[in-house]
Amino acid sequence: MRKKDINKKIFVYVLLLAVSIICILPFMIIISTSLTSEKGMALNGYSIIPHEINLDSYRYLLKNLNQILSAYGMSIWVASIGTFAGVTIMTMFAYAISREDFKFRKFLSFFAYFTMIFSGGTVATYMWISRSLHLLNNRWVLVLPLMVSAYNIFILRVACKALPIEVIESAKIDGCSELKIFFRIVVPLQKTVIATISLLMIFTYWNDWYTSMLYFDTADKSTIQYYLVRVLNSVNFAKNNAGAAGGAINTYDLPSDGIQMAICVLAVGPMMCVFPFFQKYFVAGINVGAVKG
Amino acid sequence: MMKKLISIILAAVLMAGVAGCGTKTQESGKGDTVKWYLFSNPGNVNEKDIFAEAQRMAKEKTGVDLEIIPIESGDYESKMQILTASNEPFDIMFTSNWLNNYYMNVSKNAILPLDDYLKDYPELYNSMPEYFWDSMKVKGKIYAVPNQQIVARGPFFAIPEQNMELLGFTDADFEGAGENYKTALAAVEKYLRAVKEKTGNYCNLNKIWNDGTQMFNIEEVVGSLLPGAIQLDNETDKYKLINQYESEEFKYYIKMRRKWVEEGLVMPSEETERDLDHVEDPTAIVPNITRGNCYKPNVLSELNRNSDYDWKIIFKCRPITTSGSVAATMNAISATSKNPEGALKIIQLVDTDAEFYNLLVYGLEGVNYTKTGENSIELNPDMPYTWTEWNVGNTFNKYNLPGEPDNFAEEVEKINDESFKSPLLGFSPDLDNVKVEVSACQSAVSEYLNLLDYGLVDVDSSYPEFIKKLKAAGCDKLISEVQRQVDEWVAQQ
Repeated sequence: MRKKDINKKIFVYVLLLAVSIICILPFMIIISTSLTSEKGMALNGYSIIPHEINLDSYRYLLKNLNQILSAYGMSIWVASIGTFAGVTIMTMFAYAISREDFKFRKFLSFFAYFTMIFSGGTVATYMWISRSLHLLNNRWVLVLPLMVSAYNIFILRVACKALPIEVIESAKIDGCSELKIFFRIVVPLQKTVIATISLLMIFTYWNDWYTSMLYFDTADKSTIQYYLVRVLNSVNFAKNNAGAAGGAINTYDLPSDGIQMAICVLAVGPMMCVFPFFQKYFVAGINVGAVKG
Repeated sequence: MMKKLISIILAAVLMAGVAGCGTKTQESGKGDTVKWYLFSNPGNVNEKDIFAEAQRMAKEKTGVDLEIIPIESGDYESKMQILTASNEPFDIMFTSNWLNNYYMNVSKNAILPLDDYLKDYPELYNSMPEYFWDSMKVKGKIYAVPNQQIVARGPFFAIPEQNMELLGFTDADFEGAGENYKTALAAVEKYLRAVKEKTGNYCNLNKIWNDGTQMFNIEEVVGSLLPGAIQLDNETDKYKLINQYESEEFKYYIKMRRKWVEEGLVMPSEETERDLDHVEDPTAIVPNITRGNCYKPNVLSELNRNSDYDWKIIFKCRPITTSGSVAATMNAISATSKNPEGALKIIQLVDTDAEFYNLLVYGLEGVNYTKTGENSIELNPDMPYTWTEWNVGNTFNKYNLPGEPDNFAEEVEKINDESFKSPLLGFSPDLDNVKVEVSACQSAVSEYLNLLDYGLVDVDSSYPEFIKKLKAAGCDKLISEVQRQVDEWVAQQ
């Protein structure tokens, strides 16, 4: 190997190492803070390695165990149903509009594309969902609005387009129905892209709290992210507005930093476990979209 | 064939959608349930039981069906905005000059003017002094019911109690210090010097100007920290707006503050503000002093709960009541309300009925708290129910917590009534025409004020820069526009 190449390699590795440290550090601080007691926080401040292992924050959260478990349940339900249904519908849609011999191809492509440029806006969307669809306080409201995204459809369409039409024709000659072609040939061949889109969708569903905030009046159907957001929002709110309303907010019984961070750890935990399973598809999937687009 | 099928399906879907819209139109009526969006804190375990009891009590006492929908405080603003923007039918909301903005709601016609209704609710109307209602008026009409609480803002200074003896101070040392800003600042300096001499240490001291201009007899009229204020001790021309950042008071204060920093009397930067609430020896001198923005009878117990040692108030400044301080907490009725009479009955109930009010604030007796006297309670730490009292209703009806004096409500009422009433009580500026200037001034203020208020920068060089930036941001235009509105308002009175 030439010296220049080695230098280049070293540079790349150092750079990547630095980037990964930047990514990991905040997370280390979150974990360490969640393990520090309030008094410890006051004395030592934030640190990467905890000075002590103190499980008070988690113990406090266990008091609200029912709420957290139900929030977890809700998140898992939403993410799995939504991802499954969404990926199925989007793949079918994308495959259909990728076929040159499909009559409504242009119209349907435009139909999807249109939503990328124009959106209904929050108020109109809210009125549509509350007045016409009557989905307020209904758990399906968390699933339906995010299920189909035009962006993902186009990624999938590019991938489907790459399929040689001959493969489909030969399947037809062998007597396959359209549905069978889709499930036996298209889906297996698009495994990587579908896995990538699934991962993106799981993240979207998992991180979405805004929909819960908007369409639910009660907190008992909240997802884990919304639970976290609520706690954080309320703490910030109290801190920022303590003066505005006559100093009547009792700042002393707010959850400490440790508790906030512990909720954060609980919220991202499952995603950390999901990611490695998808990772190999993820890289390949992004490539497909990038190169052939 | 396929085409036909698709069109049939499409038609069916459309029909279903239209039918869905049609069935929900309701006639308005007196019997409609009153929906109350209350703002709440997270983690209230038995909230449901409490609301069920509240609904039962409301039905029993007023005959109105009540539905309470708790929205957590952090989400309240966005949730209410989407509800009002989409004309969603509901009844009661919290509104104020700092959250879910009252004046915006009035200009959007999102809330109902109450003048025609109020005469039918004398119990509610007479439950508070006239100047509360006057402060509510926008273009001559009342749109909301204030939640009574402390409205007089009187800044005060407090120090760790043991420091008095350890530094050899007596009450006499601080007597009359609240007279005017010069005596107040001199008293603070005396204390800072004594701490420095005894311990060699600098003190923590928060900002004095920000949220504390009452001490300087200045009322900010245009908005919090925005240039444009009246001088309350100006007898000859009391409606004259000035730029408070060009006032003698401001210059005097920032120079003094800078001197304190240079001499090492107070912390030299924001980062060096130490955590002094938790100290190893709470009986030694703690180098701490704090400026509170609002004196009220239970303020000491609030301070004491936060720290390892007890606090002592060394002096108080004159309390002042402004429109802004009354408009800080209110209940309003949505313009989409189908049952405004019922909603007003509920507001009357929560403002005049102690039993109903305390249920919403403290929860269920025997579960969330136990009574220790006729009007005093102790909270049950195992079953926390935390609710901020001022977002619900009239805080004068609340039970007293340990450490709060028995006559808490009367004391607060006394402070309110005896406070200096701003000559502009009832005036609120309309900043629509000067939005650009407002945001430009805001950014100039946020760039400099903190630094000057902490004494972190050299006054001789930074202060002229600050004033120059404010002028460039159009503060004069802003002030003259609001001055015009003030003059119009005065002429109308």
